[in-house]
Amino acid sequence: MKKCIRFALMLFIIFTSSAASAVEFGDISAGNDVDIHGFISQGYMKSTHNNFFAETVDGTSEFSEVGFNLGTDVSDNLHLGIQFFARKLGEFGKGEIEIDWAYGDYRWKDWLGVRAGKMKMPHGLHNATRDIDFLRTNIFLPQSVYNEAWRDTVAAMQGGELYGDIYLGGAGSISYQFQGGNSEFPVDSGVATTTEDQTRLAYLNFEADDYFPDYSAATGIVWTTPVDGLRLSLTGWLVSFTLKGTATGRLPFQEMNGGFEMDTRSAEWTGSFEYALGNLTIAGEYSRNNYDFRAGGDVFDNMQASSGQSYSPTLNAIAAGISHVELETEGYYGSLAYRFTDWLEVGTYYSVYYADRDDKDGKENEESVRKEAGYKDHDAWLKDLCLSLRFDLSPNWVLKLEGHKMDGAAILMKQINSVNDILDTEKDWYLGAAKVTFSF
Amino acid sequence: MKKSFVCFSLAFALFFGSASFVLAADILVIANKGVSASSLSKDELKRIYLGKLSRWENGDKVNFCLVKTDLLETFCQEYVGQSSMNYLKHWKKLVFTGKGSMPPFYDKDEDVIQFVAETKGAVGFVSSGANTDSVKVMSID
Repeated sequence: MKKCIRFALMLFIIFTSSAASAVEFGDISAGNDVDIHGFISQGYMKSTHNNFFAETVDGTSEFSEVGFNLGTDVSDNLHLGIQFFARKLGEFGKGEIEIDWAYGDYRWKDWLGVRAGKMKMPHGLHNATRDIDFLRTNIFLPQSVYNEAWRDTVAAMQGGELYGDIYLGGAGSISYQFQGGNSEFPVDSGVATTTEDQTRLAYLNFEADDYFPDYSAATGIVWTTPVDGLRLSLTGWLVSFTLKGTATGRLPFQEMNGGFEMDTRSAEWTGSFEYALGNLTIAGEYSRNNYDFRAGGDVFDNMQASSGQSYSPTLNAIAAGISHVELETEGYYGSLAYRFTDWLEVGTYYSVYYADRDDKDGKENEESVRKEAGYKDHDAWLKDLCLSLRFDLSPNWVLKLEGHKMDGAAILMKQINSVNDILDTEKDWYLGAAKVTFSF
Repeated sequence: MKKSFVCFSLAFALFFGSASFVLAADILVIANKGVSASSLSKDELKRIYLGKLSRWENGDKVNFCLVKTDLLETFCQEYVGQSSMNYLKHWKKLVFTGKGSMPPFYDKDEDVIQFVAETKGAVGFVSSGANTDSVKVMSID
């Protein structure tokens, strides 16, 4: 892993040393056949009580991103580009270089173009640029809409896209994107980790070792209104995949083991607005995500044989060989950012997330299985009040400082917040983060 | 009380402010002489600079450039409807998602004029005192 990060850094330095002076933002790029841009970020996080996607209670610097892209206009209509990317956020990412996006873009008319390859998925205002720290005020996007655990699944898809911008005269313009294909992600991604966490409620220690994408579709429609600075958008995705691996039973079913698989279907939509008035930017987003989980595998045959008796309705369902869980999450936030000067911007947001919109107060966590696993009512929500300071030290360097006052523990990874396999979270806690980014 | 408020405001402006005193009237929008149009609406100019209008009526590609002087802030506020910081962020978002290439940026009017004069379908903006003999000055409706 360290080798990969070193390799990424080496490539980064090679590219930046030859290109940064010529292709910095703000300098002349005309005359270059290939545009090269990139960024590198390093952060630090520290929290009280709960671990936020990494061992943050102890303080951690496992929080970095590096990326660089190449782009060229092959003709007036055809643009080709690729971005390499590596990241590390505690549990997620190993610093290995991956292709973030790579596609051909044929713009036939302003109102109709085609893209093919690996493209960033539309989702809310920020998904396409969620890994690029210097393009926003905050270090962390509101988790109510931009759940880090799902980043790998919805960051990009391989397939095709129709897009365009339709001019509406006095009514502004409508931009649209329709994408179809599939999403691939590593078996140590956030979704795999989340699935492993979920199966612990079914007395299983699941370890994913294979991933099968089924299909992904996404759409985004943005209305740039005639009011300067005001845009409204509606985005949505439909993603389906299967995780396969092995599972072993936890007490009292420790003698079980066998194959396990989880089919997941996620249908999500987000409504967003953003209003930039001079140096002030106001934004808000509302999102719902409907999950459909279906579990199977031969581990259930063993489970049925060894348990021999009913333990809970959930376990009965699992023991029958099929576990079907359907739930809908809900999240929303409002944000303000004000740029005081070229070098200082201050931002704040309040974000609310419910892991199950039919159980906002966490009553289901009082049920025996969940209660025994350590779940408390506050594991059903996460309310986050964030304050961020952004310092633009130069056109290329950005430093950010950020504090979060958290209420609840939904979204957090269970394994790193458990003691002796029992979930152990606190309701009220704080998270601080600092991050520095260089870009060119 | 009033004095304190004025002093505070001045201190705040001096500390945080980066005042730009360029007026919209000081800006000339120019185009390559091969561009058949002689005027642009404010809306067309905005769409060009946001990358949403990429073709002239005859099908030629629209090229455009920026100048890194005090004109930039006024141009962005007056014709694109946003601050220059937000405008640059708009283009960085396109660049880092593969949806566009950063437009060329020049340090002075002479370079902008040279780019526009030598590039088919090009548009730019310069200060009103610049020598525009080699390009066409567009009227903005």
